[in-house]
Amino acid sequence: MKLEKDGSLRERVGMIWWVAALAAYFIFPDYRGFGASVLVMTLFALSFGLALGFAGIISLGHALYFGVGAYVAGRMALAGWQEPISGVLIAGFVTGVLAIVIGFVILRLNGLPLLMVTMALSVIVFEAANKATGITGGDDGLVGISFKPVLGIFNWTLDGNLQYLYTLAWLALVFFIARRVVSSPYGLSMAGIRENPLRMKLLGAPVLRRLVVMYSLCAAFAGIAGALLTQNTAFVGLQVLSLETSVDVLVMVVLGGTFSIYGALLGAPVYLIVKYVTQQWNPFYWMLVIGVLLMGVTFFFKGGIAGWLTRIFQGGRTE
Amino acid sequence: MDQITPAASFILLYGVSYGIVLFVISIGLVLTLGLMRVVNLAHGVFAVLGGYLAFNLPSLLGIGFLASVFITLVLVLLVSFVLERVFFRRLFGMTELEQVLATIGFCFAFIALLTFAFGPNVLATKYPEWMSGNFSLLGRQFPFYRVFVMACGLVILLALWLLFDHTNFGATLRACVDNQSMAKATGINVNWYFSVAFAIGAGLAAIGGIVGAGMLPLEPLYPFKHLPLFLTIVALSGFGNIKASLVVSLVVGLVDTAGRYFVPELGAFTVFTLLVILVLWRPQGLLAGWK
Amino acid sequence: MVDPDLSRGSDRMTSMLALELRGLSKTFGGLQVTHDVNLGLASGARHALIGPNGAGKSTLVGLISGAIEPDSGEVMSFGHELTRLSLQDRVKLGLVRSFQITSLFPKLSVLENVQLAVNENTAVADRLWLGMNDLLEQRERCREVLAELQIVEQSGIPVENLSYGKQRLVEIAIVLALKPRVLLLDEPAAGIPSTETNLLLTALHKLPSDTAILMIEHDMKLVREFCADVTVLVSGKVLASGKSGDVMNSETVRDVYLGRSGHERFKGVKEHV
Repeated sequence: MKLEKDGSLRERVGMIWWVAALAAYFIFPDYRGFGASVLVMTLFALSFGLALGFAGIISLGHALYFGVGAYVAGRMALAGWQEPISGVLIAGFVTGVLAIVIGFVILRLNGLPLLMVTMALSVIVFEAANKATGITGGDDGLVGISFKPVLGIFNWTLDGNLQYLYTLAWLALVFFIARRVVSSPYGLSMAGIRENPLRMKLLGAPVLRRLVVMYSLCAAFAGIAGALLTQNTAFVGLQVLSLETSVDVLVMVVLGGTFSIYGALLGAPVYLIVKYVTQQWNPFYWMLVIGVLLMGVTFFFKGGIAGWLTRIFQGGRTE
Repeated sequence: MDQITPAASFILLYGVSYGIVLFVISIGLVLTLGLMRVVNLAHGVFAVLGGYLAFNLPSLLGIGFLASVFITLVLVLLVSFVLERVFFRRLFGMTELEQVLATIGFCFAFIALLTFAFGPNVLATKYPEWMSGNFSLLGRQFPFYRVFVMACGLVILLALWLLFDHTNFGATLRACVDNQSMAKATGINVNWYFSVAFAIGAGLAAIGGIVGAGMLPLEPLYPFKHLPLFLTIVALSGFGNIKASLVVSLVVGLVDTAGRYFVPELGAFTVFTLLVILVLWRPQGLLAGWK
Repeated sequence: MVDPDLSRGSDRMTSMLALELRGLSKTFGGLQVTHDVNLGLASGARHALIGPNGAGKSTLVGLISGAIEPDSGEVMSFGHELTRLSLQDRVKLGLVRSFQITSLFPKLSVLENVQLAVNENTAVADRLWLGMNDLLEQRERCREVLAELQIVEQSGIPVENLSYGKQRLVEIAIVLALKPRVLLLDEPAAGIPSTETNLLLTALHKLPSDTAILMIEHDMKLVREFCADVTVLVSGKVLASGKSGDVMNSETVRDVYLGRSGHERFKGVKEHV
């Protein structure tokens, strides 16, 4: 991560983003539902961006935590616990704990084996969820979910009004925490672990422990995103655990730029809007667009959108 | 005792034939990983391409199945050779993440094109007469198809063994894998060998796709759908270790078949749980001690 | 000064030693790479480890730092046994190594590289927030180290953009920041063009006088200037050990390792006090 020098560009982009997000609420009143889902995915992308770009954990199974968070929130509501804010926090807590257990085992690996395990794990959970129709509702998913008003005042409606602002608030909170982590000594040590784990060990750093904590935090954020999805749509389907979802979020983060947390803010909306638009023409058109985009980002646009913006506004300064 | 033999023979026949299909498809991936150190998540593309071509050419060109397979192979060999030079070769110096992204991108683009050409649904495949039909063994009916697959597997294994252990080409290729810089220093055109190896891998994948269509149905999403399976097999085989990938593929085939036979509700769960345990136990590949 | 015939019996003296290797042995697949190595360094030692290529010097460094587990023998420091300890734990006890091939954090700036080391050393590395006092202390320690090595101006530059010589300095900076009690320097001059070795030499002289330093080097000039004691390692065994002058002048060492020309080069040197 870069020091204060680049900070001002990031700050400005960030401010513009939050203002735009708020403005979108008023400018596009018919798209609040869609907007809320974009915000949910942005939060999910943020959680993954932290793990991938910051901690260097290459995972193709982050949907595992997104899905678990979603199902936990859904099942709690069906069991009678319908207070939304605590619901989200509990879902995040559960996924965080799950990630600690998993992380301790798998984070000893890296590279291809780690990729394999994360992918295989999420496929396993998907298969299990598919079969465990008692818990997950299988193909049909969980329905009949409802929640009490947020803070006792704001009611859930079908037009997405509450969903949008509620999710935006959560996103802001998580982003704030993420930013603090990134600019803290802990954050710096994560960057060190990413750059040269052996050297970090030789500085005396407990590498595995730090990785597990970071991974767990990212999982908790993903779980929060999943819970928000459930609360916004009053539904949980198997899709939340699928490999496609893991790949989706990988693309979003890469598109936006993995080296900065602002990457998720940029990548997720762009990806989802492109997907939405191209899917109107032909459902498989977007696969072609995304495929080409991915290859393009790898060969030409290294650093994604954020990298591109940095190059434009900061001239030839090296990354 | 009566119960065991039919079950055992079923699992053996189905499991081994499935494992062989997986092996034949994965060889190319193992080679690419071992030779070029490139993670190619788009490898399944060649398998499905082979399948689609082989089953569509007969009606398009009015030729027989075998002729179609032959033409398909030639096409796939050519196309993959070109693709390697144009695209896959560039992945060589990139980070693992970049390779993952680029090849997933390629995979997506290919799937999209396949959907435009053939529609999103599973391709209904029909094997020729001489490959179909049943035979009796130990009081049960087994499809001749499965035996045919095993026979194919044996032929391919034999051919590979001959190629790698008994030809100059094979020896040179192994030299390139074992010590690239040394090979280059002795004047061997390592790049050319890589392209050829890549093409062979793609051709084998195509055969696997054609022969395996009865087990892994052909559809545009094929390369993505079976990605976890292929990749885990390769990961467990270590880098470029073909013998290991044979063992792993057979294990996967047998475990998956046995799992579905005894506990059908679990489906793919069994084999993936096994795979996770194996990868955690021996991340450097199952037979890492051997070679 | 170091007693070259260090034996296991002198316990009172051994507990004072900054670094002690006792009967260290390691075999890799049939080849004995390290053979019953004994070595002792007191605080403030300036000790060189020399030997031909393939003598097992890198393995020895690995054994001391904790990257490799010995088949037999012990590694001790100030009376603590380090042999079973992890890399991290040894660092916490003050045993630090530098790398022959620079191993830094490429995309991070010079300042950040040093900050990482300082943070670990002051135990603030896993904090989410630094109070004003801690922050000031961190800043001061970083500034100190950077100033010692005269690389303050390069603070903000990503390390991968520096010249190799400057990168080696950052390598030393990191090691300094960890305030080591025992320092393993693995060929500190490796890869540095002769025009830049002076900067390195000055930096090495600035290392604290009570730190015990074990330096692996091929550059005899550096050994001569810097180290009072020398151990010669050949085929994993200690061939000779003692004061530089004595060892270098001994016949056996000259024949096995230095060859005539090396001996000639070294002959005219005054004894290092």
